[in-house]
Amino acid sequence: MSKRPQRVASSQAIQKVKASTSSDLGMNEEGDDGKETKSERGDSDFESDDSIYDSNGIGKKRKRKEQEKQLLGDNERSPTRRRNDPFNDDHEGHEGTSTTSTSILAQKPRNRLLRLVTGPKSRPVRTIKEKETSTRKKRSLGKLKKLLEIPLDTFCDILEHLNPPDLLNVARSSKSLHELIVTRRMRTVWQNCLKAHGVPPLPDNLPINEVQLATMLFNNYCQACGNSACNKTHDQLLVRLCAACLTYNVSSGNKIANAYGKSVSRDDLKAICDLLPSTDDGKYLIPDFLDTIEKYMATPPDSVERQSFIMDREVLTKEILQYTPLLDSWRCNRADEKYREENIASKERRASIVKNLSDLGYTEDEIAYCRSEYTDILRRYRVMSLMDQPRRLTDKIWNRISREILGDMDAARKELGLRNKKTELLAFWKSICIAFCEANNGVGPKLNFTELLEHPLIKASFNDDSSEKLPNTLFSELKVQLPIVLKGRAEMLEAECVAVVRKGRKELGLPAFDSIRPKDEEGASSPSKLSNIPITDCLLRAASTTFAGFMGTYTNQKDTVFEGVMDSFFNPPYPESVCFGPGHHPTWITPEFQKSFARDAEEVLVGLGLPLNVTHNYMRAMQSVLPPHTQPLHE
Amino acid sequence: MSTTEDKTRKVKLVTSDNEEFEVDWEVATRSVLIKHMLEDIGESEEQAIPLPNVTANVLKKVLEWCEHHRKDPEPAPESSDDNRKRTLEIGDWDAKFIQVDQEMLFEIILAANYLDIKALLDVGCKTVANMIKGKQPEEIRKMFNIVNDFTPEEEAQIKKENEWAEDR
Repeated sequence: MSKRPQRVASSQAIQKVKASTSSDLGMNEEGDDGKETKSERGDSDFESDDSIYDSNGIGKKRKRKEQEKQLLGDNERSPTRRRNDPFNDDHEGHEGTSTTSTSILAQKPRNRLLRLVTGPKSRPVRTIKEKETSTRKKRSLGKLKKLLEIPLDTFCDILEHLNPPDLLNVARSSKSLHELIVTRRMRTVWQNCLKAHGVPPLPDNLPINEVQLATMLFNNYCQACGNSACNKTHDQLLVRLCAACLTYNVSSGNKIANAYGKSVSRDDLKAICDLLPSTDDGKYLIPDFLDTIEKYMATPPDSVERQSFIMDREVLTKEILQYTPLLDSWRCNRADEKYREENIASKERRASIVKNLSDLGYTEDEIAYCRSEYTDILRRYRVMSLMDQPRRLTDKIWNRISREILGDMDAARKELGLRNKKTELLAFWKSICIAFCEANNGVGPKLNFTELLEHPLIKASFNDDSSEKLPNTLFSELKVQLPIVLKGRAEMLEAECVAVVRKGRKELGLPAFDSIRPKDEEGASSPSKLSNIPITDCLLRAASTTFAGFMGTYTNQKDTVFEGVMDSFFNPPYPESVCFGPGHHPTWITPEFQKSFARDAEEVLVGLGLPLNVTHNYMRAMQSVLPPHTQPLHE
Repeated sequence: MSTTEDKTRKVKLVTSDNEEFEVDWEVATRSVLIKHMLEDIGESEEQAIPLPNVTANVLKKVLEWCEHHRKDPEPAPESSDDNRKRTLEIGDWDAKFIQVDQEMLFEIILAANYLDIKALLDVGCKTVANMIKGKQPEEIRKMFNIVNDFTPEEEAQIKKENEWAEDR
């Protein structure tokens, strides 16, 4: 059985909303401006018994209260209470949230939410300047004005389909709609609307209604200051407050009761504290606590009335405490559901985009590459953020994002093509290196893959976008040209290093290496006849005249051994794969001569009584047998 | 329960502007109102069903919907319907069907309500709800073509208070 208001052809209440149609908005409502204005202002017309929504005298009660208040001359207010005091019921709030006396709503008795206060740390609501009506908005002008002409039960049907925040927004769009929607007769609509979103039914006795519950759960603004970034509700207090306003509106029972002096005894206070839900740290919402004190103290001690009041409050508190976990669980379920829904939407969006890209001729590999870790990181995140958003793809969205995605896809396609060519070349280069090693007693070529990529033939093939593969002619030409390039490169690089050392020694004023070279007929690295200490005639292998090898940017470690320097460039002369880019092997850069190191090395050798052309390998071996403080060389 | 005979039966419907439509029984009985009326008049095939609240162009549109949904299962009873978790999603065909001007949209909603075609009413309500979805009060005012008669203070106050009108 529906509890809704009975159906009428076109309800007068809706007609009243319709009557407020603006001639200012330039629509074709003409003729009865004066009458409408009167109705909007909530005058006698508004409170007429003719309206099916006002048949219980909505507004009459308010008007009567206002008249009574005028007669009383506002004498109800306690003279001892101060303005800006959170304990003062008549407090108007911090600046920016106060109400004017001309407001039709301002003269009513204040409910608990209107008695919430703000303080210096509360953030006042920002007034958003109304933007000029855009073309899009102009198009929607009067788009739903017919809605206000339909029968009430159908209107209710539509309202029930709205999300709670939308229903709140409709109710806040005009006074007449507010009077129509925020009414007890519409409770079923609110209940159904909340039920449709899985909100647990609000118990009847709770001091909030469904509209206040919807506001608390679905509007993310603080119910005291209106600051719209308040994500925390205080379910047990049945209110949503920002951190600042929470401090102004909750307090310990002791502090709140202090305002009443000795009239509230310790026992009374203890009893009152048990009658209210509190925050986790034992604080109470001040307006609720004050109400409870007033009502408690209004009953005679040990009377039936007090017992009855205590029992009622206990039941209410129990209901609140039973309802709070239901809200918690609803919130968790909602978050889970949202997560699941977003996940599904995101997957569907990705699948739709992939399908669109496939339809446009992009391969699975290209699409996967565009999202892979091997692609440009910015492009990757851009594409992923466009593809994985938790909103299903619509034509409109695709039109908006396709240009950016297709641009990235084209770049990725080009990059992937290049990568495939490099992979092909790498396999060929590996086979060349293996053959070179075999022909040179296990010594690899002194040319790495990065350097190979600089070969003019290879560069030309890479720049040719017309083919996805490297031409066979390239490989046959390389087979001819590479042996020529590799031949003698090791000797050439060694000669470069020798020249660096000679030049460096000369600049340092050290004697030429040839002059310190012993006349040893047995050649390089042969043991001295005098001391059995291995010496060398190759200045690149002598402990005294060495240089720190350039190791690129991958490590700060500097190798002072010539072989180590060469290995850092050429061993192995190719990367495992092309995934990490050519930077893995830097192109050859002639190492620098470490002047200070060379001078120190000679002084140490002289100090140790060793010949200056002692081999570096010998000194390295000595490091393991000498005590640390006498170690001649620190690498 | 409908019989095979029923399914082959034709039903005559007369609109408020006196236009007559002859449709399959299965199509016409998507409307609970017509179904009940047919049950009332019994086997009399010649008797046309008067629909004084529906015009020909609206009925044509409604019958188009009924024709498309003629094989749909019977709607769930009211009680279980109340427990459903509502979404605002509309099927592709319905979404295309309901792309009509405002006048026709509300005529369809009214007709669906009058003819008691719950699923069609649902489509209409969802369409309107979707149009309101996510709109701020100012945008809603524009859609309804009404003015904001709240003062800024009242606006702030109603956002805070939300008491039933009867309790204010």
